[in-house]
Amino acid sequence: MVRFKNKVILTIPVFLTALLISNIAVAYPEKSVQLTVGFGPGGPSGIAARFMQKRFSAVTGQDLVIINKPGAGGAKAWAQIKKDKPDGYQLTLLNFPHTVLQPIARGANAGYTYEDIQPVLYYTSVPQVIAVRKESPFKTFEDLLMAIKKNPGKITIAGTGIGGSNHSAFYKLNTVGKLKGAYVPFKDTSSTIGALKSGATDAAWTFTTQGVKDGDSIRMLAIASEKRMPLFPDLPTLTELGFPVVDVASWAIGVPPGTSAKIREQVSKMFQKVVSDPSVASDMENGGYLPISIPYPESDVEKARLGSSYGAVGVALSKKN
Amino acid sequence: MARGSIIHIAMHLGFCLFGMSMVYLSQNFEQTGSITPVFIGFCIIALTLVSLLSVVLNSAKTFQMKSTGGSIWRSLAFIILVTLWITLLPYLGFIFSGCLFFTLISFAVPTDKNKVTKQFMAVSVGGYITTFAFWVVLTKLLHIPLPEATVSLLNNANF
Amino acid sequence: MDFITYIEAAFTPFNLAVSLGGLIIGIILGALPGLSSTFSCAVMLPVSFAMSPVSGLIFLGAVYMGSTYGGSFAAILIKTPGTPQSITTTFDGFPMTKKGLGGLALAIACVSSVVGGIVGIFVFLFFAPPLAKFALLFGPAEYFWLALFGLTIIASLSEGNLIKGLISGFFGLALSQIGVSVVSGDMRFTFESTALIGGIPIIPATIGLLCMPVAIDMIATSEKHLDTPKISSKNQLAEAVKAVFSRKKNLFRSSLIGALIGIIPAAGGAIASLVAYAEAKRGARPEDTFGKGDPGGIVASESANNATVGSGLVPTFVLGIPGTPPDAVILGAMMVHGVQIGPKLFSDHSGVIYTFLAGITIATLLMLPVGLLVGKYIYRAVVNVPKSYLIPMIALMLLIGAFAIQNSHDDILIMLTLGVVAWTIGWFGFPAPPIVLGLLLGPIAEQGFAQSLMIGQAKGSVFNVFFSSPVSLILITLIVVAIALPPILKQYSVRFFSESKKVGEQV
Repeated sequence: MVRFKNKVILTIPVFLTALLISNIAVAYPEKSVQLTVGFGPGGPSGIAARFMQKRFSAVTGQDLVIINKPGAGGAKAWAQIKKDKPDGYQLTLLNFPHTVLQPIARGANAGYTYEDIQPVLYYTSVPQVIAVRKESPFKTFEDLLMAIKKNPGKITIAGTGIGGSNHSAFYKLNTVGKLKGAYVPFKDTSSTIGALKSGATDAAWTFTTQGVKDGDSIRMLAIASEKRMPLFPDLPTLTELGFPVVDVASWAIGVPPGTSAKIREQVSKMFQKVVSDPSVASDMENGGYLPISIPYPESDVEKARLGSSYGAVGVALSKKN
Repeated sequence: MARGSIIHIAMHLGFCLFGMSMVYLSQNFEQTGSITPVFIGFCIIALTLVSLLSVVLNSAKTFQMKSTGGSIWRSLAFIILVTLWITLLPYLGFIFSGCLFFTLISFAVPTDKNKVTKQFMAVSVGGYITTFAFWVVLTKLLHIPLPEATVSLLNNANF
Repeated sequence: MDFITYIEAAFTPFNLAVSLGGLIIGIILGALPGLSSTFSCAVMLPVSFAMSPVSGLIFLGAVYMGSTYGGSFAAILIKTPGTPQSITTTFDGFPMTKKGLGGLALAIACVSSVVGGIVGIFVFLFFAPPLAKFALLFGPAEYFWLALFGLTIIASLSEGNLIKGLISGFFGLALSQIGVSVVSGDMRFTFESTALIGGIPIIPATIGLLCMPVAIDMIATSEKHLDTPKISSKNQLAEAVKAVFSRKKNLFRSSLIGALIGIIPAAGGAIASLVAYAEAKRGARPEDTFGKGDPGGIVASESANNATVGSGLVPTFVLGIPGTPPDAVILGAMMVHGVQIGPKLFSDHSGVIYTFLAGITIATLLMLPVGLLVGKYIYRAVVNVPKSYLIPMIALMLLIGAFAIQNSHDDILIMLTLGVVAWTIGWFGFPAPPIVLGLLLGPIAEQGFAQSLMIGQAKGSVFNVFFSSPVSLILITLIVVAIALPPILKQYSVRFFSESKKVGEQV
C-alpha cells in the first residue's frame, strides 16, 4: 500500500516533467547531455566518445558530459540503462556486438537484455584486424595460417575479453578456416597489445585503431571488413584471402527503453549533426575508425540485423567457453 | 569465557564459512575461472583454522579487543545515520540530504569539554555552505554529476 | 637535444598559467578522497580540448602530477588515500599527524613528491628509448610474479599478528574475484545483482575500508581529533628538506623504484609506492619506526608515486601502451588532438613531446611553493575545525568520492558495507590495509597466472612460461627474500643492527 502510494507520488512529478519537456523542448538540448561509456577513458570506446565531445558544445551549444563506468566488459554501464530517465539527457554508448553476445553468454547474470539496448544512431565502427609484432616470423597472413595448421592449438592469439568482439572474430576465423588457435583473453585493448608486443603471444585480434597507433611496432596481416580500408590500402581483407569473415565492432548512441519516438529522433538528429562536423569525421578517420551513419528509425533495423547475425556466434561462444 | 572471546571465535568461524562458500560456489565455473577462487577459499579456511588454534591455545589470556575508549553507541549512531543518508540519497538528492544529514551527524558528535553547544548553529550553517559549494564546484564547474532527487521539488537546482 | 628551445616554448605566459591551473586543480581533486588521478584527468579532458594540443597536454600532465601529490593530503590528515597511489602514505602519514606533526608530514610529502617527479621526468628525458624495451619484458608471467611480490608487503603491514594480516589479505583477494572473470568469462559471485557486475570498484572500496573506520572511531570520543601542532610551523620547509635528504638512500631508491614500475605497462603509482614502501621498510635502520609515524614512509611512498608520472610516459609515447592508468587518458587525448603516437612521434612531433615535458617539469617545480602553501592552510584548517564539523564533512566527502567516480549509487553502498566490515573486524585485530592490497593485486595476479597457464598449455610447457625469463627469476628471488628475510632478521636482529649502524648511512 505504502509502496503503491510512493510510486504514485513519485510518478506524478516525473510525468509532469516529462510533459513539460515534451512540450517546451523546442530547443533540445537545453542543458548538458550525459553519455555513459562502459569502458575506461583511453580505450577505443572511450576515444570514440571523446571525438564527439570535442565539437559537441560548438555544434549544440551545450556540454557533453562523459561518464566512464568501466566494468564487466561494458555491462556495468548497460545494466544501468533501464534506470535512466527517458528524457533524452541520459544516454549510453552502446557497443556491438558486445551487447548481443553478453546477454546470451551470461543469461540472468548479464544485468540487461538485448531489449534494453535501444540504439538511435550508429555513428562509428572499427574493423578488426589480426596482427603480429614487428619481430614476428609471420610476414603475411599465409605464414600465420600455415603455422596454425601445422601446430594446431599451439599458436597463441591474444584478444580482449571473453565473449567480446575479438573473441567473436577469433571464433569465426577458426570455424570458417577449420583452424585451431589458442585464444588468450586480456582485460583491455592496451593489455592485449602489450602482450603482443612483449612476445607473450604469437598473434592478436585487435582493431584498426591500434594499427594507426602502433603502426611501426606491430604488423597487421588481415582485416575482417567487407572491403579494404582507405587508410590501409595494402591490408588485404580476410574475404579476399578466401576466408569470408567480416567482424566490425560498431558504436551507437543509446537511449533508455521507453523513450518516446520524438525524443529518439531529436537525439539521433543532434548527434548526427555533431559527428558529421568535418573535423570530427576526419579525426575519426585518421584515428582508424570507420564513420557510419544509421539514424533512428533505421537504427532499429540495424539492431535486429546485428542481433540475428551474432546470435549464433553468441550461443557458440557461451557453449565453448 | 568473555563475551569478546566468543565474538572473536565467531568471527573466525565466519571467515571460515566465507572461504568454504567460496570454494562451493566456484564449482560452477569454467576451469580457468575457478582455480583462483578455489585456491583463495582454501587458503582462507586454512588460515582461519590456524588462527583459531592459536586463539584456543592461548585462551588462558582472555582476548583483549582493540579499544578506542569511546562510546560504541555513538559509533553505531554514526553508522546508522550514514546508512540512512545513503539510502535516502537517491530520493532526496545531494543538496537536501547533504544539509539534513550534516546537521544530524554533527548532533551525534560529542561536545569538546571546552566548546559550547552554541557551535551547532555555526556548524550547521557551515555544513550547508560546504554542501552547496561542493555542488557548485563539482557539477557546475567540473561537470561531475552528483545524485539528483527523484522528488523533483528537491532537485539540486531548486536550491 | 635543444631542450632549451622547448623550455622556452613551455614558458609562454599561457602555458605557465595552464601548468599552474592544472596543478592546483589536480591537487584539489586528488586531495578529495576517491577522485583518482585517472578520474581527474578524464574530467579535465574537455577543458584540454579547448586548447592547442601542446597546452592541452601540459594541462593534463599538470593535473596528473598535482593529483598524484594531492592524494597525500587526505592520506596524511584523515587516513584516507585521496588517490590509490597514496595508500602507503597513510601508514606513516596519519600516525605523524596524530603525534602533532601533520604539518611536517605534509611538507615532507611535498618535497619528496617534487624530487620523485623530477627523477621520473629525467628518466624519460634521458633513457626513454632503451627503457621502453624494459616495458616489453613484462608478459603475463612477469605480472603474476610482480603481483605476488606486491602481496608480500602484507607481512610488514600486519605486525603483531601475521596470520590475521594474511586472513585480511586473502579476504581482499576473495573480494577481487567478484564480477566477470577476464580469463574465463564466468560471472562470479554476483548473485544476479547489477551492483556487483563490475566487481568491487577499487576506489570506493579503498576509501570505505581505510577511512570509514577512522570516522566511526573518531565520533566515539570527545577528545580532540588531532593534537595541536607540536612545533611552530615557522621553518617547516627547512625541517622537511632535512628530513627528506637525511634519507637520501631511501629517497633515490624509492624514486628509481617508482620510475621503473611506472614503465611497466598498467602497473601504476599504487603498486610503485607499495613496493617502494616495502623496500624502505626492509632497509630500515634500527631507530626507524615504520608504521608508527616515520618520515621515511612518506618519503618512500610519495617519491615513488610521483616518479611514475614521468616514467609512465616512456611506454605511453614510445610504444603506445599506457604506463599508468592516467596515461591511458593522456593517450586518448593525444588521439583526439590528432597527435600520432609511436616511434614516429619523436621525429614528427618531437616539439610537442619536449615542450610537454618541459611543461610538466615546470608544474612539478611549482608544486613546491603551491603544495607547501596549500598544505599549511589545509593542515591548520583540519586541526582547528570543530569535530562536529569535521566528521560530517568526512562523511560527505566519502559519499561524493564513492559516487562521483562512476556516477553510481551502488558504489556508495559498497563503500559503506566494506567500511563497516573493516571497522568490525578491526576490533578483533584484523587489519584493513591488506584487504586493499588483495583487492588491488588480485586481478593482476589471477590474470597473469591464468594467461601464463593458457600459453604454457598451448606451448607444451607451463614450467617454462613461469620460470624461464630473467625478470621472473629476479622477481621470484625478491619474493623469497621478502618472505624469508624478516624472520632471519628477527633472529639476528641485535647483531645485524649493530653492524648496520657501522656500515649504514649517517643519521
